[in-house]
Amino acid sequence: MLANKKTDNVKTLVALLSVLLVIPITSANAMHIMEAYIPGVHCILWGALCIPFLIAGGISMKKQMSRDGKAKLLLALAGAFVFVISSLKIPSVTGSCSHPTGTGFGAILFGPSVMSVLGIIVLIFQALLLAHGGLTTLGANTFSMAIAGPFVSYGIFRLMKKLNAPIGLGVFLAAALGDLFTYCITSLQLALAFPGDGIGYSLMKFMGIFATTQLPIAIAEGILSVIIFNVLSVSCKSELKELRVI
Amino acid sequence: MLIDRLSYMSRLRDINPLLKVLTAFFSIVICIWADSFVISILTLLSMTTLITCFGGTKIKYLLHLMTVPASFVMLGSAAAVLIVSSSRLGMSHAFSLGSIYIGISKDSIITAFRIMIKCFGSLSCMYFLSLTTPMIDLFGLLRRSILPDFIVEIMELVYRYIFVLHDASDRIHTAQDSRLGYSSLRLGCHSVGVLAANVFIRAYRQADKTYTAMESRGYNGEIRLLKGKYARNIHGYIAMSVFVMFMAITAIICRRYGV
Repeated sequence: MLANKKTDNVKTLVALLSVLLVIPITSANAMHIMEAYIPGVHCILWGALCIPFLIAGGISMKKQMSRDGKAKLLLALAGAFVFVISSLKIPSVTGSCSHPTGTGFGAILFGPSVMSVLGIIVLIFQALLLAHGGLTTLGANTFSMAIAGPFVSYGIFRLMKKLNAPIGLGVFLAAALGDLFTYCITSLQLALAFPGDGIGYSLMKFMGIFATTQLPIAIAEGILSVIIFNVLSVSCKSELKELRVI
Repeated sequence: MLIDRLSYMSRLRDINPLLKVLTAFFSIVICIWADSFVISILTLLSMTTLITCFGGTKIKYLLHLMTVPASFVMLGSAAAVLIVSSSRLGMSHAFSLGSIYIGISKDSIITAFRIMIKCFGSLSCMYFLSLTTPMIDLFGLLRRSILPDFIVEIMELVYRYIFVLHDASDRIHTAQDSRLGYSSLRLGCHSVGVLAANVFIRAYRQADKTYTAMESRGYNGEIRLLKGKYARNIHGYIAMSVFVMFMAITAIICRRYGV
Protein backbone atom coordinates (compact mmCIF):
# COMPACT_ATOMS: atom_id res chain seq x y z
CA MET A 1 0.00 0.00 0.00
CA LEU A 2 2.77 2.33 1.03
CA ALA A 3 4.93 1.37 -1.96
CA ASN A 4 1.96 1.84 -4.24
CA LYS A 5 1.39 5.33 -2.91
CA LYS A 6 5.04 6.12 -3.42
CA THR A 7 5.10 5.08 -7.08
CA ASP A 8 1.93 7.11 -7.61
CA ASN A 9 3.71 10.05 -6.03
CA VAL A 10 6.71 9.66 -8.30
CA LYS A 11 4.54 9.24 -11.40
CA THR A 12 2.68 12.47 -10.74
CA LEU A 13 5.91 14.28 -10.03
CA VAL A 14 7.41 13.14 -13.34
CA ALA A 15 4.27 14.16 -15.22
CA LEU A 16 4.25 17.62 -13.66
CA LEU A 17 7.96 18.17 -14.19
CA SER A 18 7.68 17.23 -17.85
CA VAL A 19 5.00 19.92 -18.24
CA LEU A 20 7.35 22.43 -16.62
CA LEU A 21 10.14 21.48 -19.01
CA VAL A 22 7.97 22.06 -22.06
CA ILE A 23 7.05 25.57 -20.93
CA PRO A 24 10.38 27.41 -21.44
CA ILE A 25 10.43 26.32 -25.08
CA THR A 26 7.38 28.46 -25.74
CA SER A 27 8.52 31.42 -23.57
CA ALA A 28 8.39 34.66 -25.60
CA ASN A 29 5.88 37.15 -24.24
CA ALA A 30 4.72 35.37 -21.13
CA MET A 31 4.56 38.41 -18.89
CA HIS A 32 1.66 40.12 -20.62
CA ILE A 33 -1.51 39.01 -18.87
CA MET A 34 -3.81 37.85 -21.63
CA GLU A 35 -7.16 39.37 -22.51
CA ALA A 36 -9.85 38.49 -19.93
CA TYR A 37 -7.55 36.28 -17.87
CA ILE A 38 -8.32 38.09 -14.61
CA PRO A 39 -11.85 38.94 -13.37
CA GLY A 40 -13.50 42.20 -14.42
CA VAL A 41 -13.35 43.81 -10.98
CA HIS A 42 -9.58 43.23 -10.84
CA CYS A 43 -9.17 44.80 -14.28
CA ILE A 44 -10.94 47.96 -13.09
CA LEU A 45 -9.10 48.15 -9.75
CA TRP A 46 -5.63 47.74 -11.29
CA GLY A 47 -6.56 50.35 -13.87
CA ALA A 48 -7.67 52.77 -11.13
CA LEU A 49 -4.40 52.18 -9.29
CA CYS A 50 -2.48 53.31 -12.38
CA ILE A 51 -4.32 56.63 -12.79
CA PRO A 52 -2.34 58.74 -10.26
CA PHE A 53 0.96 57.61 -11.80
CA LEU A 54 -0.30 58.36 -15.30
CA ILE A 55 -1.51 61.82 -14.29
CA ALA A 56 1.85 62.57 -12.67
CA GLY A 57 3.57 61.36 -15.84
CA GLY A 58 1.28 63.47 -18.01
CA ILE A 59 2.00 66.60 -15.97
CA SER A 60 5.73 65.95 -16.15
CA MET A 61 5.49 65.50 -19.92
CA LYS A 62 3.49 68.69 -20.33
CA LYS A 63 6.13 70.61 -18.36
CA GLN A 64 8.93 69.25 -20.53
CA MET A 65 7.02 70.16 -23.65
CA SER A 66 6.35 73.73 -22.62
CA ARG A 67 10.04 74.16 -21.84
CA ASP A 68 11.30 72.68 -25.09
CA GLY A 69 9.47 72.37 -28.41
CA LYS A 70 11.48 69.32 -29.37
CA ALA A 71 10.38 67.38 -26.26
CA LYS A 72 7.21 66.04 -27.90
CA LEU A 73 9.14 64.42 -30.71
CA LEU A 74 11.77 63.12 -28.37
CA LEU A 75 9.10 61.53 -26.14
CA ALA A 76 7.38 59.98 -29.14
CA LEU A 77 10.63 58.49 -30.39
CA ALA A 78 11.38 57.25 -26.88
CA GLY A 79 8.03 55.42 -26.97
CA ALA A 80 8.78 53.93 -30.37
CA PHE A 81 12.26 52.95 -29.14
CA VAL A 82 10.82 51.07 -26.16
CA PHE A 83 8.35 49.32 -28.46
CA VAL A 84 11.11 48.21 -30.83
CA ILE A 85 13.36 47.13 -27.93
CA SER A 86 10.55 45.02 -26.51
CA SER A 87 10.10 43.28 -29.85
CA LEU A 88 13.79 42.36 -30.16
CA LYS A 89 14.56 38.69 -29.80
CA ILE A 90 17.16 38.11 -27.13
CA PRO A 91 19.04 34.82 -27.14
CA SER A 92 17.90 32.90 -24.09
CA VAL A 93 19.57 30.11 -22.16
CA THR A 94 16.85 27.60 -22.94
CA GLY A 95 17.57 27.87 -26.65
CA SER A 96 14.39 29.65 -27.54
CA CYS A 97 14.06 33.38 -28.00
CA SER A 98 12.43 35.78 -25.63
CA HIS A 99 11.61 39.46 -25.53
CA PRO A 100 12.88 42.01 -23.02
CA THR A 101 10.39 44.42 -21.45
CA GLY A 102 12.58 47.41 -22.29
CA THR A 103 10.75 49.60 -19.80
CA GLY A 104 13.50 49.37 -17.17
CA PHE A 105 16.08 50.72 -19.58
CA GLY A 106 13.59 53.34 -20.74
CA ALA A 107 13.13 54.46 -17.12
CA ILE A 108 16.89 54.94 -16.71
CA LEU A 109 16.99 57.10 -19.84
CA PHE A 110 13.75 59.06 -19.61
CA GLY A 111 12.65 58.89 -15.95
CA PRO A 112 10.00 56.65 -14.37
CA SER A 113 6.92 58.90 -14.41
CA VAL A 114 7.29 59.72 -18.10
CA MET A 115 7.95 56.03 -18.68
CA SER A 116 4.57 55.13 -17.16
CA VAL A 117 2.72 57.16 -19.81
CA LEU A 118 4.97 55.92 -22.62
CA GLY A 119 4.56 52.41 -21.18
CA ILE A 120 0.78 52.44 -21.42
CA ILE A 121 1.00 53.75 -25.00
CA VAL A 122 3.44 50.97 -25.88
CA LEU A 123 1.17 48.40 -24.20
CA ILE A 124 -1.84 49.62 -26.21
CA PHE A 125 0.15 49.18 -29.42
CA GLN A 126 1.44 45.79 -28.30
CA ALA A 127 -2.13 44.68 -27.62
CA LEU A 128 -3.58 45.99 -30.87
CA LEU A 129 -0.69 45.40 -33.27
CA LEU A 130 0.96 42.29 -31.84
CA ALA A 131 -1.79 40.78 -29.63
CA HIS A 132 0.58 40.74 -26.67
CA GLY A 133 -1.58 41.38 -23.62
CA GLY A 134 -5.08 42.76 -23.98
CA LEU A 135 -7.33 45.76 -23.69
CA THR A 136 -9.20 44.60 -20.59
CA THR A 137 -5.97 43.68 -18.80
CA LEU A 138 -4.32 46.94 -19.85
CA GLY A 139 -4.54 48.32 -16.31
CA ALA A 140 -2.95 45.26 -14.71
CA ASN A 141 -0.21 45.07 -17.34
CA THR A 142 0.47 48.79 -17.09
CA PHE A 143 0.85 48.55 -13.33
CA SER A 144 3.31 45.68 -13.45
CA MET A 145 5.31 46.60 -16.55
CA ALA A 146 5.06 50.36 -16.93
CA ILE A 147 4.86 51.48 -13.30
CA ALA A 148 6.22 48.95 -10.77
CA GLY A 149 9.18 47.76 -12.89
CA PRO A 150 10.39 51.20 -14.09
CA PHE A 151 10.13 52.79 -10.63
CA VAL A 152 12.23 50.00 -9.10
CA SER A 153 14.73 50.21 -11.97
CA TYR A 154 15.05 53.95 -11.66
CA GLY A 155 15.37 53.80 -7.86
CA ILE A 156 18.12 51.20 -8.01
CA PHE A 157 19.97 53.05 -10.76
CA ARG A 158 19.94 56.31 -8.76
CA LEU A 159 20.90 54.50 -5.54
CA MET A 160 23.87 52.78 -7.19
CA LYS A 161 24.95 56.11 -8.63
CA LYS A 162 24.84 57.66 -5.19
CA LEU A 163 26.87 54.77 -3.77
CA ASN A 164 29.48 55.40 -6.48
CA ALA A 165 29.17 51.85 -7.78
CA PRO A 166 30.39 51.19 -11.33
CA ILE A 167 27.75 52.44 -13.75
CA GLY A 168 27.63 49.08 -15.58
CA LEU A 169 26.68 47.31 -12.36
CA GLY A 170 24.00 49.94 -11.72
CA VAL A 171 22.50 49.42 -15.18
CA PHE A 172 22.60 45.62 -14.84
CA LEU A 173 20.94 45.59 -11.42
CA ALA A 174 18.37 48.21 -12.44
CA ALA A 175 17.26 46.29 -15.53
CA ALA A 176 17.42 42.80 -14.00
CA LEU A 177 15.73 43.68 -10.69
CA GLY A 178 13.14 45.83 -12.44
CA ASP A 179 12.31 42.83 -14.59
CA LEU A 180 12.14 40.53 -11.57
CA PHE A 181 9.88 42.98 -9.74
CA THR A 182 7.58 43.10 -12.77
CA TYR A 183 7.39 39.31 -12.66
CA CYS A 184 6.61 39.33 -8.91
CA ILE A 185 3.80 41.85 -9.43
CA THR A 186 2.35 39.84 -12.31
CA SER A 187 2.43 36.70 -10.17
CA LEU A 188 0.72 38.62 -7.36
CA GLN A 189 -1.96 39.85 -9.77
CA LEU A 190 -2.62 36.31 -10.94
CA ALA A 191 -2.56 34.96 -7.38
CA LEU A 192 -5.13 37.56 -6.30
CA ALA A 193 -7.29 36.60 -9.27
CA PHE A 194 -7.02 32.86 -8.48
CA PRO A 195 -6.48 32.58 -4.73
CA GLY A 196 -7.41 28.88 -4.50
CA ASP A 197 -6.60 27.67 -0.96
CA GLY A 198 -4.96 30.93 0.09
CA ILE A 199 -3.08 33.82 -1.52
CA GLY A 200 0.27 32.63 -0.12
CA TYR A 201 0.11 29.17 -1.68
CA SER A 202 -1.25 30.58 -4.92
CA LEU A 203 1.48 33.22 -5.13
CA MET A 204 4.10 30.52 -4.57
CA LYS A 205 2.55 28.48 -7.37
CA PHE A 206 2.50 31.28 -9.94
CA MET A 207 5.97 32.49 -9.04
CA GLY A 208 7.31 28.96 -9.28
CA ILE A 209 5.84 28.38 -12.72
CA PHE A 210 6.75 31.75 -14.20
CA ALA A 211 10.27 31.57 -12.73
CA THR A 212 11.16 28.99 -15.39
CA THR A 213 10.99 31.67 -18.07
CA GLN A 214 11.45 34.88 -16.14
CA LEU A 215 14.72 34.28 -14.29
CA PRO A 216 16.76 33.72 -17.49
CA ILE A 217 15.00 36.66 -19.17
CA ALA A 218 15.80 39.01 -16.27
CA ILE A 219 19.49 38.14 -16.42
CA ALA A 220 19.53 38.38 -20.22
CA GLU A 221 17.80 41.76 -20.07
CA GLY A 222 20.34 42.98 -17.52
CA ILE A 223 23.26 41.96 -19.72
CA LEU A 224 21.59 43.43 -22.81
CA SER A 225 21.05 46.76 -21.05
CA VAL A 226 24.71 46.91 -20.05
CA ILE A 227 25.82 46.29 -23.64
CA ILE A 228 23.45 48.98 -24.96
CA PHE A 229 24.62 51.38 -22.30
CA ASN A 230 28.30 50.75 -23.06
CA VAL A 231 27.78 51.45 -26.75
CA LEU A 232 25.77 54.57 -25.95
CA SER A 233 28.32 55.95 -23.50
CA VAL A 234 31.00 55.63 -26.16
CA SER A 235 29.15 56.97 -29.19
CA CYS A 236 26.60 59.43 -27.81
CA LYS A 237 27.86 60.92 -24.60
CA SER A 238 26.31 64.30 -25.36
CA GLU A 239 22.81 62.85 -25.72
CA LEU A 240 23.12 60.95 -22.42
CA LYS A 241 24.29 64.15 -20.74
CA GLU A 242 21.31 65.97 -22.25
CA LEU A 243 19.04 63.35 -20.68
CA ARG A 244 21.01 63.71 -17.41
CA VAL A 245 21.79 60.00 -17.20
CA ILE A 246 25.54 60.43 -16.70
CA MET B 1 3.24 43.93 -38.84
CA LEU B 2 0.57 41.49 -39.91
CA ILE B 3 -2.39 42.90 -37.95
CA ASP B 4 -1.79 46.43 -39.21
CA ARG B 5 -1.65 45.28 -42.82
CA LEU B 6 -4.78 43.14 -42.51
CA SER B 7 -6.74 45.98 -40.91
CA TYR B 8 -6.21 48.19 -43.95
CA MET B 9 -7.37 45.38 -46.23
CA SER B 10 -10.56 44.63 -44.30
CA ARG B 11 -13.90 45.25 -46.01
CA LEU B 12 -15.25 46.64 -42.73
CA ARG B 13 -12.61 49.36 -42.73
CA ASP B 14 -14.87 52.22 -43.82
CA ILE B 15 -17.51 51.61 -41.17
CA ASN B 16 -17.63 54.22 -38.41
CA PRO B 17 -14.96 53.23 -35.88
CA LEU B 18 -17.22 54.12 -32.96
CA LEU B 19 -19.60 51.35 -34.00
CA LYS B 20 -16.78 48.82 -34.13
CA VAL B 21 -15.35 49.94 -30.80
CA LEU B 22 -18.76 49.67 -29.14
CA THR B 23 -19.37 46.20 -30.60
CA ALA B 24 -15.99 44.95 -29.38
CA PHE B 25 -16.40 46.63 -25.99
CA PHE B 26 -19.88 45.22 -25.23
CA SER B 27 -18.89 41.77 -26.46
CA ILE B 28 -15.82 41.65 -24.22
CA VAL B 29 -17.76 42.91 -21.20
CA ILE B 30 -20.51 40.33 -21.69
CA CYS B 31 -17.96 37.57 -22.28
CA ILE B 32 -16.09 38.35 -19.06
CA TRP B 33 -19.21 38.93 -16.97
CA ALA B 34 -20.93 35.72 -18.11
CA ASP B 35 -17.80 33.56 -17.63
CA SER B 36 -19.58 30.62 -19.27
CA PHE B 37 -18.70 28.04 -21.90
CA VAL B 38 -21.70 28.84 -24.09
CA ILE B 39 -21.19 32.60 -24.21
CA SER B 40 -17.45 32.30 -24.80
CA ILE B 41 -17.93 29.95 -27.72
CA LEU B 42 -20.80 32.05 -29.13
CA THR B 43 -18.61 35.17 -28.93
CA LEU B 44 -15.71 33.36 -30.57
CA LEU B 45 -17.94 32.12 -33.40
CA SER B 46 -19.72 35.42 -34.04
CA MET B 47 -16.49 37.45 -34.03
CA THR B 48 -14.81 34.95 -36.33
CA THR B 49 -17.78 35.27 -38.70
CA LEU B 50 -17.59 39.07 -38.58
CA ILE B 51 -13.84 39.08 -39.24
CA THR B 52 -13.75 36.47 -41.99
CA CYS B 53 -17.15 36.52 -43.75
CA PHE B 54 -17.91 40.25 -43.44
CA GLY B 55 -14.40 41.61 -43.20
CA GLY B 56 -12.90 39.28 -45.78
CA THR B 57 -9.83 38.42 -43.70
CA LYS B 58 -8.50 34.97 -44.56
CA ILE B 59 -9.17 32.43 -41.81
CA LYS B 60 -5.56 31.23 -42.21
CA TYR B 61 -4.29 34.53 -40.79
CA LEU B 62 -6.83 34.55 -37.98
CA LEU B 63 -5.84 31.02 -36.91
CA HIS B 64 -2.20 32.05 -36.96
CA LEU B 65 -2.97 35.11 -34.81
CA MET B 66 -4.88 32.98 -32.32
CA THR B 67 -1.65 31.12 -31.52
CA VAL B 68 0.21 34.32 -30.55
CA PRO B 69 -0.65 34.22 -26.83
CA ALA B 70 0.04 30.46 -26.75
CA SER B 71 2.92 30.77 -24.31
CA PHE B 72 0.87 32.71 -21.80
CA VAL B 73 -2.06 30.32 -22.20
CA MET B 74 0.23 27.37 -21.55
CA LEU B 75 1.86 28.91 -18.48
CA GLY B 76 -1.40 30.32 -17.18
CA SER B 77 -3.30 27.07 -17.67
CA ALA B 78 -0.51 25.07 -16.03
CA ALA B 79 -0.79 27.40 -13.05
CA ALA B 80 -4.57 27.17 -12.98
CA VAL B 81 -4.60 23.36 -13.19
CA LEU B 82 -2.15 22.88 -10.32
CA ILE B 83 -3.45 23.20 -6.79
CA VAL B 84 -1.04 24.00 -3.99
CA SER B 85 -2.43 23.37 -0.55
CA SER B 86 -1.59 22.18 2.94
CA SER B 87 -4.00 19.24 2.68
CA ARG B 88 -4.60 16.58 0.06
CA LEU B 89 -8.33 17.16 0.15
CA GLY B 90 -10.06 17.00 -3.23
CA MET B 91 -6.98 16.27 -5.34
CA SER B 92 -7.16 13.30 -7.67
CA HIS B 93 -3.39 13.16 -8.22
CA ALA B 94 -0.90 14.77 -5.92
CA PHE B 95 2.60 14.59 -4.53
CA SER B 96 3.95 16.09 -1.36
CA LEU B 97 6.79 18.53 -0.95
CA GLY B 98 7.49 18.65 2.76
CA SER B 99 4.19 19.66 4.33
CA ILE B 100 2.75 21.08 1.11
CA TYR B 101 0.77 19.11 -1.44
CA ILE B 102 0.91 19.90 -5.14
CA GLY B 103 -1.68 18.24 -7.29
CA ILE B 104 -4.54 18.40 -9.75
CA SER B 105 -8.26 17.72 -9.52
CA LYS B 106 -11.17 17.39 -11.91
CA ASP B 107 -12.53 20.78 -10.85
CA SER B 108 -9.23 22.53 -11.41
CA ILE B 109 -8.98 21.15 -14.94
CA ILE B 110 -12.54 22.31 -15.75
CA THR B 111 -11.81 25.77 -14.31
CA ALA B 112 -8.61 26.09 -16.32
CA PHE B 113 -10.43 25.04 -19.47
CA ARG B 114 -13.23 27.56 -18.86
CA ILE B 115 -10.74 30.39 -18.35
CA MET B 116 -8.93 29.40 -21.52
CA ILE B 117 -12.11 29.44 -23.62
CA LYS B 118 -13.11 32.78 -22.07
CA CYS B 119 -9.70 34.21 -23.02
CA PHE B 120 -10.07 33.11 -26.60
CA GLY B 121 -13.60 34.53 -26.74
CA SER B 122 -12.40 37.93 -25.55
CA LEU B 123 -9.32 37.72 -27.73
CA SER B 124 -11.55 37.30 -30.77
CA CYS B 125 -13.36 40.55 -29.81
CA MET B 126 -10.04 42.36 -29.64
CA TYR B 127 -9.06 40.91 -33.00
CA PHE B 128 -12.39 42.08 -34.43
CA LEU B 129 -11.41 45.61 -33.45
CA SER B 130 -7.76 45.47 -34.49
CA LEU B 131 -8.35 43.56 -37.74
CA THR B 132 -11.08 45.89 -39.02
CA THR B 133 -9.98 49.28 -37.68
CA PRO B 134 -6.66 50.86 -38.64
CA MET B 135 -4.98 52.73 -35.77
CA ILE B 136 -5.50 56.08 -37.53
CA ASP B 137 -9.29 55.70 -37.21
CA LEU B 138 -8.89 54.97 -33.50
CA PHE B 139 -6.78 58.11 -33.03
CA GLY B 140 -9.60 60.14 -34.55
CA LEU B 141 -11.91 58.64 -31.97
CA LEU B 142 -9.45 59.28 -29.12
CA ARG B 143 -9.14 62.94 -30.10
CA ARG B 144 -12.84 63.35 -29.42
CA SER B 145 -12.53 61.65 -26.00
CA ILE B 146 -11.53 63.17 -22.66
CA LEU B 147 -7.89 62.24 -23.25
CA PRO B 148 -5.66 65.36 -23.46
CA ASP B 149 -4.72 66.16 -27.06
CA PHE B 150 -0.99 66.00 -26.50
CA ILE B 151 -1.23 62.34 -25.43
CA VAL B 152 -3.05 61.45 -28.65
CA GLU B 153 -0.47 63.42 -30.66
CA ILE B 154 2.33 61.49 -28.99
CA MET B 155 0.47 58.24 -29.73
CA GLU B 156 0.22 59.18 -33.38
CA LEU B 157 3.91 59.98 -33.55
CA VAL B 158 4.83 56.76 -31.71
CA TYR B 159 2.72 54.81 -34.18
CA ARG B 160 4.48 56.47 -37.10
CA TYR B 161 7.99 55.93 -35.72
CA ILE B 162 7.42 52.33 -34.66
CA PHE B 163 7.54 51.46 -38.35
CA VAL B 164 10.55 53.67 -39.08
CA LEU B 165 12.59 52.24 -36.21
CA HIS B 166 11.38 48.71 -36.81
CA ASP B 167 12.54 48.99 -40.39
CA ALA B 168 15.92 50.33 -39.27
CA SER B 169 16.35 47.54 -36.72
CA ASP B 170 15.40 44.94 -39.34
CA ARG B 171 18.02 46.21 -41.76
CA ILE B 172 20.70 46.34 -39.07
CA HIS B 173 19.77 42.78 -38.07
CA THR B 174 20.16 41.56 -41.66
CA ALA B 175 23.53 43.28 -41.95
CA GLN B 176 24.74 41.75 -38.69
CA ASP B 177 23.42 38.32 -39.53
CA SER B 178 25.10 38.28 -42.95
CA ARG B 179 28.40 39.01 -41.22
CA LEU B 180 27.94 36.05 -38.82
CA GLY B 181 26.89 38.35 -35.98
CA TYR B 182 24.56 35.72 -34.57
CA SER B 183 26.74 32.64 -35.02
CA SER B 184 27.26 32.06 -31.32
CA LEU B 185 25.42 32.97 -28.14
CA ARG B 186 28.12 35.40 -27.03
CA LEU B 187 28.25 37.15 -30.39
CA GLY B 188 24.46 37.18 -30.53
CA CYS B 189 24.23 38.98 -27.18
CA HIS B 190 26.75 41.55 -28.34
CA SER B 191 24.99 42.04 -31.67
CA VAL B 192 21.58 42.59 -30.06
CA GLY B 193 23.11 45.18 -27.73
CA VAL B 194 24.79 47.05 -30.56
CA LEU B 195 21.59 46.90 -32.58
CA ALA B 196 19.50 48.39 -29.78
CA ALA B 197 22.05 51.13 -29.14
CA ASN B 198 22.05 52.04 -32.81
CA VAL B 199 18.27 52.15 -32.88
CA PHE B 200 18.44 54.57 -29.96
CA ILE B 201 20.92 56.80 -31.81
CA ARG B 202 18.70 56.61 -34.90
CA ALA B 203 15.67 57.60 -32.81
CA TYR B 204 17.44 60.53 -31.20
CA ARG B 205 18.72 61.91 -34.50
CA GLN B 206 15.32 61.35 -36.11
CA ALA B 207 13.65 63.47 -33.41
CA ASP B 208 16.11 66.27 -34.18
CA LYS B 209 15.61 66.04 -37.91
CA THR B 210 11.82 65.85 -37.71
CA TYR B 211 11.71 68.81 -35.36
CA THR B 212 13.77 70.90 -37.74
CA ALA B 213 11.58 69.84 -40.67
CA MET B 214 8.37 70.62 -38.80
CA GLU B 215 9.57 73.91 -37.39
CA SER B 216 10.53 75.16 -40.82
CA ARG B 217 6.94 74.42 -41.88
CA GLY B 218 5.35 76.46 -39.10
CA TYR B 219 5.05 73.94 -36.23
CA ASN B 220 4.08 75.72 -33.02
CA GLY B 221 3.60 72.82 -30.62
CA GLU B 222 0.34 71.48 -32.03
CA ILE B 223 -0.27 68.89 -34.70
CA ARG B 224 -3.58 69.33 -36.48
CA LEU B 225 -4.97 66.65 -38.74
CA LEU B 226 -8.07 66.39 -40.90
CA LYS B 227 -10.89 64.33 -39.46
CA GLY B 228 -12.06 61.23 -41.27
CA LYS B 229 -15.61 61.29 -42.64
CA TYR B 230 -17.84 58.26 -42.22
CA ALA B 231 -21.29 57.55 -43.56
CA ARG B 232 -24.09 57.47 -41.00
CA ASN B 233 -24.82 53.85 -40.44
CA ILE B 234 -28.22 53.40 -38.79
CA HIS B 235 -28.47 49.76 -39.89
CA GLY B 236 -25.12 49.04 -38.29
CA TYR B 237 -26.22 50.46 -34.95
CA ILE B 238 -29.49 48.53 -35.08
CA ALA B 239 -27.65 45.30 -35.91
CA MET B 240 -25.21 45.90 -33.09
CA SER B 241 -27.97 46.61 -30.56
CA VAL B 242 -29.81 43.43 -31.55
CA PHE B 243 -26.61 41.39 -31.28
CA VAL B 244 -25.66 42.86 -27.90
CA MET B 245 -29.20 42.34 -26.54
CA PHE B 246 -29.20 38.74 -27.73
CA MET B 247 -25.81 38.08 -26.14
CA ALA B 248 -26.82 39.78 -22.88
CA ILE B 249 -30.02 37.75 -22.55
CA THR B 250 -28.18 34.51 -23.37
CA ALA B 251 -25.54 35.46 -20.82
CA ILE B 252 -28.17 35.96 -18.10
CA ILE B 253 -29.70 32.55 -18.91
CA CYS B 254 -26.27 30.87 -18.99
CA ARG B 255 -25.30 32.36 -15.67
CA ARG B 256 -28.52 31.12 -14.06
CA TYR B 257 -27.90 27.55 -15.24
CA GLY B 258 -24.15 27.76 -14.78
CA VAL B 259 -23.10 26.48 -18.20
